[in-house]
Order: sequence, then C-alpha cells, then structure tokens
Amino acid sequence: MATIEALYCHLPFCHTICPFCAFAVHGNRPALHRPYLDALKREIALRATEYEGARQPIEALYFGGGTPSTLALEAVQELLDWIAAHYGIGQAAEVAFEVNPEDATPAYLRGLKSAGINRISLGLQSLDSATLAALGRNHDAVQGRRALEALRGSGHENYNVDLLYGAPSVSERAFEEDLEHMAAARPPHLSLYGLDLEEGTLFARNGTVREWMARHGPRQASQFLYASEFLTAQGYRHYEVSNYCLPGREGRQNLVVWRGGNYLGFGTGAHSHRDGTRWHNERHLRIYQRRLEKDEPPVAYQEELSGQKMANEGIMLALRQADGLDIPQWERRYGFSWAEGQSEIAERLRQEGKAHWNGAQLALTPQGFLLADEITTQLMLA
Amino acid sequence: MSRHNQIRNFSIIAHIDHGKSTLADRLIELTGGLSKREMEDQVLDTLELERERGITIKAQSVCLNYRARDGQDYMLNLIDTPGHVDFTYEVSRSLAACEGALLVVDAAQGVEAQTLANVYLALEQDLEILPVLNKVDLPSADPARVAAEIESVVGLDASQAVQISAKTGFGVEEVLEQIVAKVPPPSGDTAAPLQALVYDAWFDAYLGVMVMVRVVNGTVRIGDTIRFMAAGKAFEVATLGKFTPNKMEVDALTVGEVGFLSAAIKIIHDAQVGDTLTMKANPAKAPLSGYAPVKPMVFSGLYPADGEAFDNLKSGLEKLALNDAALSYELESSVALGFGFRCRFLGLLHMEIVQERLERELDISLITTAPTVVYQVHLKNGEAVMVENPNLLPQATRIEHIAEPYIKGRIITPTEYVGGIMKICLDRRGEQKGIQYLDENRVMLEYEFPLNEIILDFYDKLKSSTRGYGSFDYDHIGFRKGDLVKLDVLINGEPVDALSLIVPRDKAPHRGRELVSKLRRHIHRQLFEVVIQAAIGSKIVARETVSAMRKNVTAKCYGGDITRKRKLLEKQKAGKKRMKQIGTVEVPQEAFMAVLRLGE
Repeated sequence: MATIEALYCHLPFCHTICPFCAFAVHGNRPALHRPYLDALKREIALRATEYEGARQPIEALYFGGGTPSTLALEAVQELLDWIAAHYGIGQAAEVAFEVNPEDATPAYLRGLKSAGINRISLGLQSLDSATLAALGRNHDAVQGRRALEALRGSGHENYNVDLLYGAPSVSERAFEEDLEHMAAARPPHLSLYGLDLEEGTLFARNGTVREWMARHGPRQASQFLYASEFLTAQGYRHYEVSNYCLPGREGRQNLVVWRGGNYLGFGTGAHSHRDGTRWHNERHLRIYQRRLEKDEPPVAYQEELSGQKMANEGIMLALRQADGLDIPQWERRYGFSWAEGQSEIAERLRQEGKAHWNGAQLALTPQGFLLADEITTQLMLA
Repeated sequence: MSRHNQIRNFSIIAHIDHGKSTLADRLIELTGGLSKREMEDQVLDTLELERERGITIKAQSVCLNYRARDGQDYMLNLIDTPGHVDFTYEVSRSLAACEGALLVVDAAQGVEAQTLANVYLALEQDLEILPVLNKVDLPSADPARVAAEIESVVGLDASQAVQISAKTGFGVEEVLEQIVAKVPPPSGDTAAPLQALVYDAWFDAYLGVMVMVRVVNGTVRIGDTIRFMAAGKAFEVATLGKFTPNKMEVDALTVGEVGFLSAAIKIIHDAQVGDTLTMKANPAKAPLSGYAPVKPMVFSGLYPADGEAFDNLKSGLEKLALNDAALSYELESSVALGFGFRCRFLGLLHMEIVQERLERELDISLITTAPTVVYQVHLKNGEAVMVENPNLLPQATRIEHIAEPYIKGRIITPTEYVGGIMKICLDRRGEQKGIQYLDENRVMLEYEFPLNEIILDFYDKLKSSTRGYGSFDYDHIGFRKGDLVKLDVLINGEPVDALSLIVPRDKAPHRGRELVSKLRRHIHRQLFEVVIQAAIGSKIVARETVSAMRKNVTAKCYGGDITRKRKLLEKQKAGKKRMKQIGTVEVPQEAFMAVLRLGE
C-alpha cells in the first residue's frame, strides 16, 4: 500500500454562513464543539488502525472549514496532539490552518504558532468594503486590514491570503486595488477565486445574483488574465488555475491532492483518496457524530476508480497546474497511450498561445487555464 | 337479378375538420354496425398517429347493412380515403372502387382546396357525387351560401344537398336514403374471369399482407390461386372477409363486393395499390385501368444521431416498409453523418410520419437532411440522369441543364389575405395562372411552382398568413428547365456533404447567407474558432465566424473533492458524444435541421 502523504481536518463551524459557500458548514455554537471534537478524534483513531501504512511521515496537515479559527486554542492543541499520537507527522511537515479576519488577533495567531501551526490561510476575500458587503461577509475592510497587519507581525513566515473576485454589483476596479494591496503586502501565497454560483448556495437561489452573474460573468475572464499578468510581474508564480506563490511557497497539501497522491480527510464532508479509491464523509453534523459513536466509518460515498477514470483525473488535475502533463509519465502511470488526435489538439493550443507543448509535455498558459475544463473534456479518454 | 343490385359502394370526400370521420361514425352507429359501447370516436382511424393528427393515412373500409324506407336490405360499403395530397394516388384508387361519393362541406366554412382536388379525382372516376352540408347546427352556418358555392365552384347541382349535423345525428338517415337512391349499384359479370381492384394493403404480423379489394368481375373464393397482374406473383387465398367494422370472415367475394383477403403474402411490394387481382388458371384478358407504380416526390437522408444506433434504424425501416409500400430506401453514407439511408417519400407529410414512427417505435434520435425533390439532369453527352441527392449531382462542367418538377397549386383563401399570399407565392418562384372569386369573401388562386419551393414549409406559411383559413392543394405537371446550382456548406474549410442544397442560381447567395447565419446560431462556441462558409463551386458566397470560447473552468478544485469535478467533466464529455464531430467542430443535431427552416 502506498504511503499516506497528507491529512485534512474539517472544522465546519462558521460565525455566519457565506451565501457563496458550498462546503459542509454549520452555524457556530460553542456547545457543539465538544461532541464534534470527540467524533473527529474517533475518526482519526479509527483510520489510523485501519491503515497500518499510514505510520509513515505525513508531509502536510491542513485544518480547513468552515472556519477552523472558531476553535479555542486549547482545542487546536488537543487535536494536534491527538493526530501526532496516531500518525507520524514529518519534521518538515507543513501544518496549515485557516483563519477568518475576525479571529485573526495577534494573540490567537501567536497561540497557533506555539501549538505547532506553521502556515496560516487568511480568508480575507477583499479589502474593499463594497465587495465584502456584496459577499455577505461579517468582517469589514478595516477588520481585514487589521487582520493582515496582525498576520504579518505574528512571526508566521508562511501564509496564504484568499481573494474572491467577481462579486455581484462590484466594480472591476475594486479587484485591481486588492491586487495592488497584495503587491505591497507580498503574502508568500495567494489564492484568487472568481465567484462561481455553486448549487445549493444562497447566491445560486437568488434571482438578482443569477442575473448579474449571467450578464457580468464573462468579464471574469479578463480579470483572470489581468491578475495573472499583474502578479507574475510582481514575481509570483501562477502555478495553478487559482493559485499564486512566491518561489518555493506552493501549498503542499494541495500539491498532494493535485498530483493524485493519497490523503485522508477527517470531519463532516471531508474527502479522501487512497490508491484509486475515493470516498467522502457524511456532511450532516449529527449523522456524522452518530456514525462515529457506533465506531463506524462515517463514509457517505465511496468509489473504486477504473484505470480510465484515474487516467482522466490525471489529465484533469495536471492541466490545472503550470507544471502541466508529462505524457510519458502519464502513459507509464496509467497504462494508456496518448493518441494522435490528442497531440493535434495540443499542437493547435500551442499555436494559439494557450499551451506550451513539445510533444512530451503539455502545460497550459494562463489563456489555456481559462479553458482548462473544455480542454480536459477534449483530451479525456472516452 | 343478382344480389349486387343491393350493393352501394361509396366514399366520403371532405376537407380536414369538415366532419368526415364524425359522419362515418354516425353511419356505423345508425346501421347498427357497432353497439354504443363499442363506439369509439372516429373508429376508422386505427393508427395511433392518425388519431393524434386527426387525419387518415391508410384507407379503411366498412360494410354497413341498412334496411331502407323501401323495405329492402342494402349492403353499403363505405370506403375511406386518405386525406392528404401526399396520398393522391391512393385516394384515386379508393375512389375507383366506388360508384358514388358524399361531398361533405362545412356549412359555415365552405369549399376548400383539398375538397376540390378530391372532387376532381371523383369526377375523373365518373362517380355520382352527393353534396352534404354538415354542421348546420352551428350559428355561423350558412347552408344557402355554401350550396351556391358548391354549384359555382365545383359545378354540381346542390339543390338536393342534405343538410345534416354529424355531431348530433340530425339528417344522417336522409344521407343513407340518398345513397340507396342515387348511387348506382355496381355493374359486373359474375361469370367473367376475376378482376378485383387492390385499393389498400397492410402488413399483419400473423396473416402476412392483408389486401383490400373491390371485385369488379367474377368471384374469388378461399383456396383459389390468384395472381397480381402487375407484380406477377401468384398466391393461394387463405382468408376472405369484411369489416362491419368488426372483422367478419366470408367464403367468397363476388361482383360489387368489397372486402379483405390474405394469401400468405410476405412482402407488401407484391400487393401494390392499384394492381388487379385475377385467377391464375383463368386470367382476365387485361388488368383494370389506372394502375401506376408508386412515384416518390420527396427525398431525404435519415441518419442515426448516434452511429451505434444504425442497426436499430435499419431494422426499424425494414419493419415500416413492410407496411408502407410507398416507402423505399437505400443505404447511403455521408462524410459528415456516417451511415444512414436515402429515403423516398410521397411527400413531406409522409416523410414526417415515417420519421415520427421511427423515433417513437425505436426510441432513437434521427438526423434528417433537408428534403429535396428529384432533379432531371441533362448532360452534355445527351444523357439524362435523375438525381435525388444534391451530392450526387454530376460536375457542373458536364451538365447541359437541370430540370426540376413543377406543380399546379390551388389556394382558397378569404379575400383579405390575398396580398400576403401573392407575396409568399412570388418568393417561392410561383407564377400566377388564375384568380377566381368564389363569393364576395373568398377567392381561389392558381399558381404554378417548382415543387422544391413548396415541400418544406409552404403550407405552414400559408396557414399562418391566413390565420388558418387558407387551404391548398396541387397536382404534378412535369419537369421544367431551371437555372439551378449546388450550394455547399464548409465548416473550417471542409465541405459538409449533408448540408448541400440545390437552389436557383439567382437565389443562391441569399440562401447561402441565410443558411450560414442559421448555422452560426446553432454551433456554440468551442475551443477553437469555427468558420462557416457557403460556396457555389469554389466561389464563397457567405461566411460567418463562431469565435472561440473564452472561459470554461471552475475556479475551485480544493478540499480534495476530485470526484465531483471529474464527474462534471465526464458529463460534459458525454454531451459532446451526442453531437456530430466535423473535424474538431462539434455540430449539434439541430444544426442539420436548421437548413429546413430557411426563410424564417
């Protein structure tokens, strides 16, 4: 059995539920924490015995949500200790933690650092009041600026800032200003997400938002290219469709996922992958807890991928990254051969400036990233 | 006196919706052919599709026993006729099996073009025509005006016309009395060699081909060896019978009688409508007059949208052709669409019916190429070839000229729409041949058109520009020389054979522009730019571009949820499979239909 390379821990609680978010989330009430933490710990222990091979050094551990920063520092410490007791966390492992601006006080950030967290991901979204209001965030621009300052002064060298663009009724200029702020603050890592209407979210049910998105959605393409050009000039590497970093600061958790590695996800709705088997957990808090009370794996869905599905995932994930798809490696790994027709498409993409292609490596340019889904469906095996 | 003096063979001529089927139902009810419980609305229209469309495709017959006021029992054979111009030949054969016809006219609406066409057919067969004014119970009914119209337009004496309401049953018995009194009994010689007219045939899964016949001379019995005079094949009669309308078997059919016959006939083409049945041992000297082989007028390619459904389509067509002697087809292959069939139809309605039945019965989606007429291509070497597929047109340099089929059309419309109709006709290369005012509100226009101009949507256009009041019918009048060229469509420089058309030279650039802009609307943005062109030979007459897709990527691929994203892309990929791939361009099925709707 192959090594487990990364772990993910889902903390579903949020101060408020964002109208654009499709993750497994739950309104935050401190009374909910204890039972959830107990269930989470059971799952962590359950999986550890199930996977003997997991006793290999883990290279990335990620606390995501929801809003992990709704947790008290003691709870964070408790979880970290529990994980360390069941899995071997490598010396140089990246231990990342998502923090919302309203929680990003100097004291909290320092506390995380001494607990062993070595990478912070700040859910800033924007420094523009209109954008934050349109996104229904419960922090404002002043709080955001303060959080960013606190983070820069906290001693955390490795951190990420999340920005969201394309919010309804907001000017394009607001996003350009956000980028200028980032150029000044120089976070080591930046995630830029264009707003998507995801099924089941409040935005997706809101007619006004839907209409606005239908009308202004197309301008996201130019915003995407603008950001890519701007940040690249600032020394950032546009290493994945939505991610930028300064040299050497790629998010290691994400790299494991994107390279088809093995990872275990704990908590409501968390996703896991191991050697061609993918599963995810119950999203509903109570159901999740009840399953674990009975010491059952809280799995809601599981699939064994066929060779072809794995090969298609390989294409899909590689094309989202600047490193791209290494054809000989893909052929070896999945046992399929790259067809003439696929090369023809690659060559045409190269001619149109949408990809770098030399017959063995296919890597999309930012123009190509914009069409990654379409290109993937063209290249996928049927 | 032989018993055929008590027989009356008649059919009903009526415009659609003027009440033919309702009247037939009342006649059956009144003569006790069916109990009330068995009466289903419009019993004669047996096919599901016919009932949905309210039209009659196959002719049916029913034998009614009626005791007239003179105290005698009569056998009245109602021979139904198909009600659409596509089936004119079948109508003429059904009429040939009768001595009389009821001309049913809606007393509110008056004579329509389709009625006229069938009346002319009946007059050609020398039938006794009895005018019947239906729907006299409607407040808008004006029997006197419509009777006058029948006299002036059709040229029949309408003074004795029966006024009825088929819906309520009012006056229907009087219709039966007139049939007995005015329709002549069949004449014929029971001792003469058998001559029976085949006026309908269909396939029965148990008995093989069922044939409807009208015996003109002689008698046919179970066990006789009969021969179809045109097709030439001989068979032994297995069953004989009549519809009352329930199926009733009999031992023999003799002079003047109408009934069905089965004889283990496996292929419907061996029993063609219009053929004459005789005895193998003691044959008639000559067949009855009027036989003509099926003459398809409209041609189109039928392809499965999904190439894997080809075998399914093939067996479906074979099955349909068993029951439809007018349908013929052959294997055809298209660069764009793969393998399919070139099918020959009597007309556009026939084509639609076949298409609908295939889709319904086989559950496959079909791509139909633009219907075309048959062209008579005269080559420089003196030869003439018939071309029913634009792609098989010989090279322009070899062609002396091309002739296309023409029709003479009659349009009847309220006068206020005449201007609009004239414009439509002019657009369709129509040449006005006559105009006649039927009364102060209605007018009949006569035009000659190339058939090609009316096979598509002329009738729909006419209906919509007359708010449904206009009616139309036509006769074929042969081939005429035209100035025609082949218009090709190129997608990214590659000709798409399935989209080629033959069009008049002076209209070609306009058609080209229309076609290309229609296609542009159907071909969605894709990974690469798509160039759509229309060309005559090597000359490009129209060009449009579908610019490349700008963005198709989901921002997020985190949280480790790879499954959902892969499934989404797999779904997108599956969607592409349903489209036709031309080079790297995905062309949706509807694009091939777009050519059908030029000029909208």
